[in-house]
Amino acid sequence: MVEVAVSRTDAEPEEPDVEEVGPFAADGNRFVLRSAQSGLLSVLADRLRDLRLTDVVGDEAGDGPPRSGERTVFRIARRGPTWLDHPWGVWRDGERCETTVTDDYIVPYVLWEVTRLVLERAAPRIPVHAAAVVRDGRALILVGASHSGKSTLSAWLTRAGWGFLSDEVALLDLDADEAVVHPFRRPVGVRRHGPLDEVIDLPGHEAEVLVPASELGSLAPPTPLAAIVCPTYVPGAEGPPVALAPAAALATLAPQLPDLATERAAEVFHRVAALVERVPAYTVRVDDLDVAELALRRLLDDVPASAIDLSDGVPR
Amino acid sequence: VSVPSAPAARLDRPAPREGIETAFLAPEVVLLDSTDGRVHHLNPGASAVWMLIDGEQDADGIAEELADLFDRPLRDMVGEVDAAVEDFAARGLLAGSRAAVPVTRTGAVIARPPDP
Repeated sequence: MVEVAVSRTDAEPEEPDVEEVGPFAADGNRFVLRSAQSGLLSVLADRLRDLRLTDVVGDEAGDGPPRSGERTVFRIARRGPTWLDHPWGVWRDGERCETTVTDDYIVPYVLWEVTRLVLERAAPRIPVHAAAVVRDGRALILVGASHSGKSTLSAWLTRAGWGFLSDEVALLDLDADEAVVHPFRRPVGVRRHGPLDEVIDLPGHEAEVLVPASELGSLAPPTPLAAIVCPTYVPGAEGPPVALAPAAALATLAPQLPDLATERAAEVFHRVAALVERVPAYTVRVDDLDVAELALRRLLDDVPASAIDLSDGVPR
Repeated sequence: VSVPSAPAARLDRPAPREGIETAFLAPEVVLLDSTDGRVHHLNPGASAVWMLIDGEQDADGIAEELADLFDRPLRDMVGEVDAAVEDFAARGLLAGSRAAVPVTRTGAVIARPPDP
């Protein structure tokens, strides 16, 4: 019997021929990706293209002006023998993130690390686990747990002419006179055999493909928040959005506020409580995505512009 | 492993436990337990009781105030206030109380995607 020992450390490997792509900016946090695996870097550069600083014209570089000159380096390395089925490691500024990532998982995993960077550095903005879309200069956030369909709905709305802010993390700025939603232009996770698979060509073979939102439609700048929408997928459901009382809105939003598990918990809780008193919230049952798009368009038409004015009495 | 018993809640003059944040969004209250990230959405009746809990007043005093406020029989209100206070204690919302079910601090709600 031949025994094969695989020796690996968690240290960032020293390799020749390390290449770099970027810089990118996610909510103003600059970062670059480095690896000796040029094929993977090409895929990541393509999927993250909406976050590229150099690809955006005007004052909205990446998805926001830089927060500082600081730049985060993500290092990605393939290690071990070729037959190893968990060969990928990721380091952030030299600190190990994960060292046993599979071939199919490495691209979503890097995106997750970028998301983590945004969540960690979001303050004073308040991140919400929500998609966000724009129509006529007014934003909706689509709040929901993972796999609630918010990515699919936001992608569908973007194809229908809405502006895209995010499919996963809406960044709320409550310091201005009105609540503003800032973008986080992650690629949208589109599931194969889902409704979007019928209308766009998905490359590769993965069960879920990350599609840059700019392939689906237009990217929106920071936009005032008009309403909070909590969609739930219910087969066969139809009907208009149903208004949520402020307390119910806060209780629904709270599990989707990552900062309630941090030292900012009390501050964020009270600021969001003040928000739901001013900004209307709704539940909407979604099945047919075209029907949902029409319902959300009508909802936005019905929300008075004054509903988003936060200038009176919001704690700073 | 010995588990220390939870200190008894002071139900005679109940007070919110430190770390409980209150948002009053009339007619209901939403509470955040900032020690574990859990949120409690109270119905209007429980919300009215919660808003009078201050560590100074006992349950009978709260019941009298609510009976006057809502023009309800005192004996009915006493039972409702007692039930609400016991529920608050069971949820670990009162000073000296601890949640009946131990909880760990809520983690990030945005989970890593599953590794295929």
